[in-house]
Amino acid sequence: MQDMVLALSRFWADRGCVIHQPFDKEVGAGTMHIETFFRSLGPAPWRVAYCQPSRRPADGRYGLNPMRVYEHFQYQVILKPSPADVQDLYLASLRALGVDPAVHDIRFEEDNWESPTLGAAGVGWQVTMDGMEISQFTYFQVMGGAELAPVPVELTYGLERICMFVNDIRDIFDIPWALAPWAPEGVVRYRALRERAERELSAYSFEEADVDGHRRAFDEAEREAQRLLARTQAGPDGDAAAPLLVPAYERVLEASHLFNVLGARGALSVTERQAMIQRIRRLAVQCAKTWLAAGEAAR
Amino acid sequence: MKTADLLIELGTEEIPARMLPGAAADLEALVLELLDRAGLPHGPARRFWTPRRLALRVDAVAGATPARQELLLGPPAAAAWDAAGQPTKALEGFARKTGRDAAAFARVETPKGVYAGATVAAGGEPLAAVLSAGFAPAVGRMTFAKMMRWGDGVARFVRPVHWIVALFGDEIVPLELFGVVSGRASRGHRVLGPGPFEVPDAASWEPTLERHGVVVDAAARRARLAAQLVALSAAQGGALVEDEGLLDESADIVEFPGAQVGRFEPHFVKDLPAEVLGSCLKTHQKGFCVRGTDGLLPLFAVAVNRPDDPEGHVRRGHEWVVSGRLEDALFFWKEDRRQPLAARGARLEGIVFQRELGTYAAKTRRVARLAAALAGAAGLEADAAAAVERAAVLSRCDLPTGLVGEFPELQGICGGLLARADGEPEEVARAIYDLYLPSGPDDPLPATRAGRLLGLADRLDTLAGGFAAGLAPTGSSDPFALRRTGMGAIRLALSEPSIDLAAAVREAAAGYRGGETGPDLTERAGQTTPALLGFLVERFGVLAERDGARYDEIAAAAALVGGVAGAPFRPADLWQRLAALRAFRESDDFLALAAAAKRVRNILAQADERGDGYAAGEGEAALREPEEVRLAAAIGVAERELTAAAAAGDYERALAHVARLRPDVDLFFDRILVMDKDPALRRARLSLLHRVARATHGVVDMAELVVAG
Repeated sequence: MQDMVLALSRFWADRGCVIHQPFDKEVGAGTMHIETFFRSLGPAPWRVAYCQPSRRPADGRYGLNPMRVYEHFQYQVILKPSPADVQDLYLASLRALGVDPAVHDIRFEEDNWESPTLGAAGVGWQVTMDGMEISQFTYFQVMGGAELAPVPVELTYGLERICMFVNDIRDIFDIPWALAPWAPEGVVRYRALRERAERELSAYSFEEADVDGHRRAFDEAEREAQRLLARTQAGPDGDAAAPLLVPAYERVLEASHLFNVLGARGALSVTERQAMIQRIRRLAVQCAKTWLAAGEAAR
Repeated sequence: MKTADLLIELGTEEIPARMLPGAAADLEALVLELLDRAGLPHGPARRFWTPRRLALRVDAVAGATPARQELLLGPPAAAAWDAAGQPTKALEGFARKTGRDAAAFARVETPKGVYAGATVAAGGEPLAAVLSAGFAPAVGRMTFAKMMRWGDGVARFVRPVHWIVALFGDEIVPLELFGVVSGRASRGHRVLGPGPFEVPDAASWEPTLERHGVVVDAAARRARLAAQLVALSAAQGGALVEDEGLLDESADIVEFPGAQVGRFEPHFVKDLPAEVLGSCLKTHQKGFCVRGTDGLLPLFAVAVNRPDDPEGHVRRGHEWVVSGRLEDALFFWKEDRRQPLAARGARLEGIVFQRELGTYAAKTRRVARLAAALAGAAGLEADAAAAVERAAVLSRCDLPTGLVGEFPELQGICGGLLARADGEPEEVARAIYDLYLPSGPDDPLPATRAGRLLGLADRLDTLAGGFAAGLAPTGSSDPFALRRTGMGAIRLALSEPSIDLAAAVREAAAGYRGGETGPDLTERAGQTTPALLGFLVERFGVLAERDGARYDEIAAAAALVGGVAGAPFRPADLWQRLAALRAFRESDDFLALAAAAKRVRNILAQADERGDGYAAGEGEAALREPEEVRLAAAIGVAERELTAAAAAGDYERALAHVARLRPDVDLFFDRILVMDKDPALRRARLSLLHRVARATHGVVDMAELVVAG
């Protein structure tokens, strides 16, 4: 598994990508990383790649399901503007992972991505290999409610899926993460790294999470984000009176994760769900507007 | 002049299968329109598509527009020549500017006056020029269900375009689209023959692509794929379960039509209902089921984009995914059965049916009430009626199940399966199972009476609510798909002769009383009942038309329902009347009588306008001419026979008796003046005609028929 991360990082570094690190907040997908959300906006070119642990509380299975987990690892690449040969680049990156497209059936099947909370939408495909989805391939069209031009393309690799398929592994927890001569088997597996967290985080989001506390924290994160976005008072060191965009966006991500936990906990009715999605989207849209207005994007 | 085949191929990134056939048709239409508008003669066109290309070939296109003579008008004659008849500076200037000699101009009479004019040769515009100028704007007019931007974000199309092959015979036609310039270089299958490679001429494009692993003819690709799926299934000792829609889609997600058959654990065939297994394969894997002599085999067949499987990865990959999906489906099926269907009713309080119409729980209550009323009207025994009501109560309880969450297309079917597993009576389970039948025009009806009555109740409730909430279909839009719902209601009502839809619609509207969906809706549901009834009569007409009935025949039948307050609408009965009419229409007596019926209607309408009173059977003692006395007698006979035959449901015999009136009606009109000066006699004659009108309206309204001549 770690060889895949290294191989993809090498491959995309050689093609001019900034090899970044995961964003240190709970997120549901690599798209929410600050270096994807904000850098997609505005005219400035951008290329970045990183591996993002992605939490989806409702997908947790207590570490018992061989395919579904609370947290999985997305390798994410952003190329802006989308290069004409991006499909060929993607196929070449599979070769770098040890997958030879010549002996597989690799197809691009329509799958248009949408993130109601980020106010984002894109057009593209799920890439399947021999019938199994291994990647999402998306031309972003809108982010934070803003139409994008130039258009970024996002490539997202499901690392566990690819690793399992290539190595004929049936249980995600059997994935060898790293060779380790010091370890009993000579290998550290996904199980050693993830099983306990999977079990406990599943129990937490399905059974234990304090619903009222999460609701209050959601309201608090929203209020704080609004306050930071509306900031007009200069700080003590005399900086310009401007919104504090990065901390505001971090509060938005917190709200989004709290919302996901409440969903997994079964605490949200249909209408409440819709209302909360809208509240998060309003903040995300406000963040995007603030970024664009400040001209940060052209920097 | 040279003619040659024209070939245009747009090479793209993968276009969604659902958009391909329409896109290829649009492209063909736009290019042909371009040729036709320029006046370029051409032969027939053919279109092609694969996920990565849209193309067309037009046979025998002229290389240039035909030559023709055109009149070039210069200055007015008075300004063009001086008194001596010599060209002025004005004419010489114009001639120079248009590249001609002043001597080429002569006096030309036009409606605006006399001008200097010259006959010049026009036409001969090359095909290349027409296409170069017109192609990009034409493609720019193509629209897709979902479009995208890429790169700098300026161009908009279904997917990025990467190459254009444009050949007129063996010559390149220079085109440019989204910054891509045309040439003769195409690309093939990503693995089997990626290229780029050169296409020598338009005629060899298709075989060249085939050599590079791409079957560009969609119909051929589909046929080859179907043959492979069938053959591979047979080789495994099974038979492919055909699915035309899935085959269409499968053929359009590959450039090369290959297939694989995979296996899964045999226990799934036992542990999962066949419907669930089939949905799971189809929805998640675009997989076909394979049948054995008794039931499904633990096999599936799929389209793949290559002819082979060199290292076994392709089959193994599909098998892996399929077994995971089946495992998931089995998990849901087991979970869903841990709780009886009936216990899920409470969850429906939280599921919205339609914003204006409340939750599924509210709908269930309305439908159960209406279903019970319909069962009563249909004369069901108490037990059977109770089964209909029970089925209605459970009908939507499968919505909160995991299985329906995963496979929405199993709504109803899933409920039926769970009801059966719960030990509900078979009638109840089957009625739920069939709840969504029919949804398309070729779908069968529910298998049981209980199912048909439940289906009718469910649809009438949707229609009554939809109309009340202002969601009735308009010319261009039908946001709630009420036309389809209405068609389903008519087909269901046709199978239940005793159902009066006029009464049923009032009953359905009454279901919105009681405030569950708000006071406005309660009131409006009552007000919109006539509009809904009219809509259903119209749906009846659409169905009859599909069956081959003529519009005037439909109007003759519909006249018995439309616009008559309190008139019943029994679709099955009306269908029989219409059938009798269609069987009987061509007889001479009948057509002549239809003409007479129209005349009677006009006379009575004029009498109404003037205020002449009449009433069937009134003042007949005043009748004195033999023709009218005979008609009165004949009417008496016809009325008796008509009533008896109609009561027995024998509408053909009823029409036959009406048709027998013809000679007497003809004689009456030949000899008798209805509008006599004597008011008593006039009244008696009008009253007699009123009886004729009633008789010719007895089965269908014959006055609505269009009679030639």
